[in-house]
Amino acid sequence: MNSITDLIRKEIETLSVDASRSNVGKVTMLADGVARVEGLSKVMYNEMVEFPNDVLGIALNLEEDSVGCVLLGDTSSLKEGDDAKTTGKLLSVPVGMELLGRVVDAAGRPIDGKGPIEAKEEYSVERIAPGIIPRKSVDQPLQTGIMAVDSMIPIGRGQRELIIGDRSTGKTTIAIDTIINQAKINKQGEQSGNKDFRPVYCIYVAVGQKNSNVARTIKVLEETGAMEYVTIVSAPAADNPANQYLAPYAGCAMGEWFMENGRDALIVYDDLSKHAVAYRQISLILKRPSGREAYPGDVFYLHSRLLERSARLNEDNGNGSLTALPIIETQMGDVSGYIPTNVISITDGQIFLETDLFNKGIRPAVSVGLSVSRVGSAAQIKAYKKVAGKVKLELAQFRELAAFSQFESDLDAATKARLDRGARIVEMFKQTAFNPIPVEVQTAIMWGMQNDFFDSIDVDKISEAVSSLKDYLSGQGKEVCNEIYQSGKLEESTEQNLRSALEDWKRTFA
Amino acid sequence: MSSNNKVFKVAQLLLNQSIGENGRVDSDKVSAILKELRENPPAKHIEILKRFGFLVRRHMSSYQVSLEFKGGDGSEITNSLCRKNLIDENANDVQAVDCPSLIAGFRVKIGDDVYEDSIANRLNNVRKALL
Repeated sequence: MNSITDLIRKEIETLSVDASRSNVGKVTMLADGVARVEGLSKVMYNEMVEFPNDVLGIALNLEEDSVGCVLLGDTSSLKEGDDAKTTGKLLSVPVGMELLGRVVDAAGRPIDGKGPIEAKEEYSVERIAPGIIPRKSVDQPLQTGIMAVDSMIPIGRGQRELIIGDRSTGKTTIAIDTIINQAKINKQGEQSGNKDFRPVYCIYVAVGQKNSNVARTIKVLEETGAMEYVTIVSAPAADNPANQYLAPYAGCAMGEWFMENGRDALIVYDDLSKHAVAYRQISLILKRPSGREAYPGDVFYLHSRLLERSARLNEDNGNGSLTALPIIETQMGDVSGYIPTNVISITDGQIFLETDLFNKGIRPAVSVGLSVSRVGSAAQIKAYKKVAGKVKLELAQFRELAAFSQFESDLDAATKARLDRGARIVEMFKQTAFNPIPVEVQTAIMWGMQNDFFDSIDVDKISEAVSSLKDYLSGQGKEVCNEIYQSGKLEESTEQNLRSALEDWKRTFA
Repeated sequence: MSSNNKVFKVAQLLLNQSIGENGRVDSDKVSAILKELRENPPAKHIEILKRFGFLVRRHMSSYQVSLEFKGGDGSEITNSLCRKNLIDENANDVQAVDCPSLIAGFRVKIGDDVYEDSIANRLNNVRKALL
């Protein structure tokens, strides 16, 4: 009892007792999470506005006679004629290490039932992206653990790599795999006691997703032990459009805290197509002029100002980074849609996933021809670069020649060899979901492929062979993998060790 | 010029015509304008009237002061606010109302600005801090 009264007394002592000043207005219209307020003559753009029953809104449209506010939270208790008053604050969310392992909404409030978040700092959700001077070019890898991506479309820390494809092509799986791989690397790095090791913390922003999908993602992250490095910002389909609009910015603010404090972070926006749709809904209700596909004119700015906040900072600014993996869902494989082309032009490359490949069982269904990483190759480790250099070209040639494979008897030996190698590479890249492969193991497998260790194995058995080699490398062949992991290079001695290890494995596999 | 802009411009002109020498809306002038509009209705009559009504309301609220208080004397509070240059008794119309929901203290509304120092407001702040 005493502790409660003490708590109240303490709270009262810290309160200001001066006369308060606020700017007020009256609600004249309410529709789908948007309120039009008459008055509020001194409101700031993006300022939080307080409505009755502790409902908060954000002033988005400042017009001559009224203010358009998007409402956050449950708006069912509001009605026309209600008072609205300014708070003098911009929307902020809690940031910091305390958010790791938690699931929060767009305003940073916990929704996982694990109690309040004791964050020491708050960041405004809308922030200016770092300028040119504090930035540095991408030079450190961010391994996804997916062979097809790490070898052909490498991602660097601070890069923005778009994951694009139709529905059910494995877009979210690639993002989740990447998060799981970061957690694995973080644990390995922390165990090694290396002082220079830099863990990558992850933020997963779910926009307009089904609650069941978000729950499944949380379950996967918990089961794989990745959740302790992850913050999930959830604005599901059932949430109002204002929350869906704000969630990516809130997640980005949380990621920026890591970047500005000299740490590395990864943020996944799943997905920005639904984000654009939520923004279109808000804009139409606010009566903003609409353009192509009824999106407002500033839909490009909506995504560019978000993705520009991902950066790699230089040593003078803490050396932190924020890597972004935005996801875009295409319709019938059409990458020339309005939102896909916008985001493709903003990002530093894209991983394009094809429905046909997915249905053929080639998973991850990465389209080699349409996928690209514009800056990531600078960040690839030397050992990997050495073995993966030619793979993309070989695979692209294979896809081109595959159409002729039905006339196999008429083909020359060189073409046949290319087709044969291509088919083996395709099989090698097949990977099950939520099962990322460490970079040193990937290097060893790729080296085996480049050095003809898989040539005598039937194409149908390549996946089995890769799986067997993976097991071998994490058991008996661990030493050579450690060698690659420590040095990051493929020196002559390492290659000799690798050759003898693979010969040993080949005997057991055969 | 869009038709909306025309409506806005006409309504603004009507407001300018309605303001007396003391800077306040003159009811006689407003009546005369309304009579004129009724007899010679312009295009977009209703829109102009709506806009005119809005502008008049907004202009009137800039000099009308609503004072809600509980405890003490209304005129005493008004004098104290005048001394602090928060309001000017000559320029503002002060309407003082006894408001028990404040418990004690006052709330002054000038245009869109609200100044409040009441027990009800302080209790509300405590409630928010404890939530």
